[in-house]
Amino acid sequence: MRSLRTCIVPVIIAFLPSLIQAQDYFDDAKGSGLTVLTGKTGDAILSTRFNIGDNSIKVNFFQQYRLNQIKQPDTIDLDTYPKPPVKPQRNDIGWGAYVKGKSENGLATIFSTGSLVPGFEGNLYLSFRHLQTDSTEIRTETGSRKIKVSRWWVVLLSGGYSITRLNLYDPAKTFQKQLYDTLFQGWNAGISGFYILPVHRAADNLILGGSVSLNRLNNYGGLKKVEIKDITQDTSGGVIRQVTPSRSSYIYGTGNYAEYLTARIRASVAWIPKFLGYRVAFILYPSVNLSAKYSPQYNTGISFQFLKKGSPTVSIGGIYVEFNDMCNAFGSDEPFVTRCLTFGLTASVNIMKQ
Amino acid sequence: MNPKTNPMSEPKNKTTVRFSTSVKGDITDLEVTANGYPLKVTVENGEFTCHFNGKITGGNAITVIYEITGLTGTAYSISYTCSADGINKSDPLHPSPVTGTIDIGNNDTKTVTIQI
Repeated sequence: MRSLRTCIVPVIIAFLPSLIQAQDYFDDAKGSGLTVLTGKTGDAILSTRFNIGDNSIKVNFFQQYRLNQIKQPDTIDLDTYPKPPVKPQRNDIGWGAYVKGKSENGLATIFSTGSLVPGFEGNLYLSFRHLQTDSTEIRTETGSRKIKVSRWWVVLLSGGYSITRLNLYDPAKTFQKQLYDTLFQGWNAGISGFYILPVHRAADNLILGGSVSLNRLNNYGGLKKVEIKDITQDTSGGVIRQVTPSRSSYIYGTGNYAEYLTARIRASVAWIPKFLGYRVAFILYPSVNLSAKYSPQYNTGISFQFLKKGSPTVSIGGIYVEFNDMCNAFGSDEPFVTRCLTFGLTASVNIMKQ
Repeated sequence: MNPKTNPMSEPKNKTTVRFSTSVKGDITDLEVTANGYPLKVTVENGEFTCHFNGKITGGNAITVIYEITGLTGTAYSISYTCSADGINKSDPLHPSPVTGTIDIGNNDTKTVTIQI
């Protein structure tokens, strides 16, 4: 029976919202990324992520299948020796989906009200992986020697839809119309991939990634936020009681709200060196966002991921430093550090593994 | 005709072998051969596994080769069981479990040889 393997639950805390999305290998500060790296052929992965960076809860499923699987006879005659052994090419195809419930007003409201409204995001993705092993001669300190080297690459096609109710405040309107909702419907489509290869006498790991995507976005994350409470005063027996309706104590965005289409191009490099015992990954991920409204937005991220001993594919925690919209295409009047700089961290907890 | 290639002349005193193995660890892929035959590898409960039933002439050996693919630095553990006509057998040089780490080239090879 095929098993359902569960789960790493990363808890992600980002101190400022980030514009960079969909890290190719490890997650970025926004907890973006697709669970394909730890996927074993024929196995299913179910993961859940709480992300305080963008106020969301994300559930991800991924399954991968081997194409041209070996056909094994019921009984093998071990006295005959096939030479050379015939090994089919190692190609895998996979599919995944994730749903994400989010609240623009803060993750705490999800727990206090039990509701994921007003935001929902769903994505489907397909993956193709190719692995190959070759004999290679490498240089060593004492000369050279022949070793086997494995490399593999993964290509992902993804598409998704999101719907979010946003609260806006426009002080220029009449009092009754200052507070209003708008329903944002976004979508994304993209292609991404990464290539894993050994470097530095084949002892270090280097992961090269890149992606191109089209996204329909809004600028709500960049608007100033204000908290507005309607207060009712009640007089009873000489006592003044103030009642604050919780439903209206929302955060409202104020400023010029806009929706627009963005093309995002991103590259990433992750290096896992031997001299640190394969316990740390250094990641650099520059990107550029191109749109008719705010363009170009140049972004750069640096991340340090702390890896599980003996399992360099598994991150147990990470630190992020991101510089978003470094040239201020967004036109913010905030100072550089407040406007661009994002710090983030993650911690992962393995809650269940069958 | 060579008896090794002619099934009609196969000796009747062949030993029945049952072999089962699993590899634990965050490896990416696994290939296994037994005396040169590629074996079907599946994943059960997050571990790579493969099994086979075989026939072999007494006195011969089974050589199982594991080719492990994963990021350099990945640790793994191989467990196996083998029985020949119901009698448990093992590799005295590499008794189960066999542990290792991929230390170069995202690839490692381990060999288990069991005398029947």
